[in-house]
Amino acid sequence: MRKLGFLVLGMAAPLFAQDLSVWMPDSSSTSAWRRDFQARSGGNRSEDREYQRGLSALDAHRWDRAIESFEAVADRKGTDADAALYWKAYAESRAANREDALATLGELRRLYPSSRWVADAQALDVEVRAQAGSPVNPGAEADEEIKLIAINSLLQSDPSSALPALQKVLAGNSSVKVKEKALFVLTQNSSPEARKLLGTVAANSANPDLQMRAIRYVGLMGSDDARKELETLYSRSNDEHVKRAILQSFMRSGSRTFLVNAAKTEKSPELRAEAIRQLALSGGQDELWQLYQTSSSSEDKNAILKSMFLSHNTARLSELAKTEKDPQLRISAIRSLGLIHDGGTSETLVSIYKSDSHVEVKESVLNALFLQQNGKALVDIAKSEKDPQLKEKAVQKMSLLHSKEVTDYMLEVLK
Amino acid sequence: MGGDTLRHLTDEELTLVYYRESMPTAQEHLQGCFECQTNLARLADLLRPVHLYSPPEPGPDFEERVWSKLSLQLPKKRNWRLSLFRPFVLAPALAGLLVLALAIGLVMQRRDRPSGISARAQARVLFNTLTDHLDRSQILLAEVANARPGTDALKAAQGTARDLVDENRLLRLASNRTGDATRGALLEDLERILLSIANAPSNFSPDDLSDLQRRIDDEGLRFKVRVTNDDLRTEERTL
Repeated sequence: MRKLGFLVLGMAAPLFAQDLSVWMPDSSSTSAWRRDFQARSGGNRSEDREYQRGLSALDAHRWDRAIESFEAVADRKGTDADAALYWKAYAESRAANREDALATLGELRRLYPSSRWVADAQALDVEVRAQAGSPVNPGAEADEEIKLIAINSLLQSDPSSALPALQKVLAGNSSVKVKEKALFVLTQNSSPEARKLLGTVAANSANPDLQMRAIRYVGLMGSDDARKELETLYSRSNDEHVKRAILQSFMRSGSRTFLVNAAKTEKSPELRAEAIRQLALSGGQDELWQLYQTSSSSEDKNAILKSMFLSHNTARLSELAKTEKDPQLRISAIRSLGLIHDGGTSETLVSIYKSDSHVEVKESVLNALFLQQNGKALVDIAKSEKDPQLKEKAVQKMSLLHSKEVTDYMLEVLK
Repeated sequence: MGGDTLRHLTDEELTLVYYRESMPTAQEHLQGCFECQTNLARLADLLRPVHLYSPPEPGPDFEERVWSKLSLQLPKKRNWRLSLFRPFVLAPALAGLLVLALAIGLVMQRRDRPSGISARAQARVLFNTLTDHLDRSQILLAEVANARPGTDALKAAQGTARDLVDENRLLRLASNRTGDATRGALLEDLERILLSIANAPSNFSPDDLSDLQRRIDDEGLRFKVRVTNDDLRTEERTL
């Protein structure tokens, strides 16, 4: 019966070869069954093997062998013939046989005009022509992505013609993705006009996604001009997203002066916190410390403490956990220390527990030691603590830990 | 007067004696000449009252009057205003002014417009965009490498692959242009896999999928992409 089934399927194989996956449930056993079926049906297997051989040759950069394999597949005009022509042209272009490559791409377009490889074939065509030094015409390309490849080539040889074309793409109705790529192409040109255009896009709020990308690129310019441009943009903008993007750009450019200023003078607490965060990410520990000492806002101080934790500044956190007058800020510093398992933070926490008279602070130390899984320190505290409530809290915390010191102490208590 | 002490002193010489400005020979003569002593006494009587009166102040038009008298005797001077308009003076002056104006204009224009994009800035943008691209490529490669055979094995990955192929081309060309052959080669390898995913047919078979997964694996592509991305991040910080 099974044999009969194979026979029927084998006869119908050419009809179903392309859409067989629709018939196949997703399991490895059916996969094996299908391979068996394909082997019996003969069909495209030899073509498929040749195609795979061509791909392996491409991966090994053995262009001649790849050309041979793909030519063989294309000649059979089977299901992979269009792909084979593309890869043949690709191998020819890499082997510097540009004329052959262009001819093969022409053949692909002529024989398989509706193939999904046609767009890539056109892009390869433009690339090969540019490599050969032939003039490219972005205006002649209907596909925006291919137009960009053409503009990119033209930008190197004739920027004065390429820039207006690029400007058109940026101002036109293309998708944001295409425009973002156009913006990248723009930055790879060194002319003042390209730089000016980048600044214009960065200042244009009509397309927020593109504006963010442009702001990022302006930040990457790293020049005084660019910093001034961003400062002006920051002061003029009312958009929080734009301002955040500018703060991030200043972090990337390593310019801390502006970030310190924004952290001090920005009216929005969220943006002040963002400036503080970016300052920490840019390595401005000294600036953060100065800011902490001069700030009168608990909110800002809290943001600075978080930033100190982000940059593992245990020295300052320890200092503040001991000396900060505001108990809530002390607790915040202690919590951060609890999340850092190095730099002698446990000793600091234990000493704070002993010296601080504030119950809430003591409880936060117990939490921090628990976060550090420091059973020994909790046992020591529980042994010496006279306040029954705090002692209970310490025992509660240690009951959730698994360590020898904790087990021994628990057994001692039970006795 | 010389050394002549026998000759009587003139009125001018006596005046000089009176004002103590005479030569020693005049004094010598005076001591031995009664006549000249008498003349000096008479002159002294005459000059003494002069000191009793202060000299009168010159009138308000004194300078003008003096100048009008003098100016008639001075040689005629050329008018400098008129001489400026002579062609051989005017032409170079105008040319100089024009050059100056152009120079000022250029400086002002240069100050107003930003300078170009430096090679360093271009590299920073390239690295930044490349790290984003490689991040997304890593995710896609991980998805495909771990995809299970089925009708929609690559369906979700295809859209992303299409977008990445287009971006990859631009980044590869930019990397090659900057002479970064190693990264250019990695992007070339990546592009072939992305093309295979983006253009995979709807009837992509389980065998096709395992072939694709084998190619990704054989190339060590995921490892290469990850290492390159880490290197790029480090380099980006130092740029």
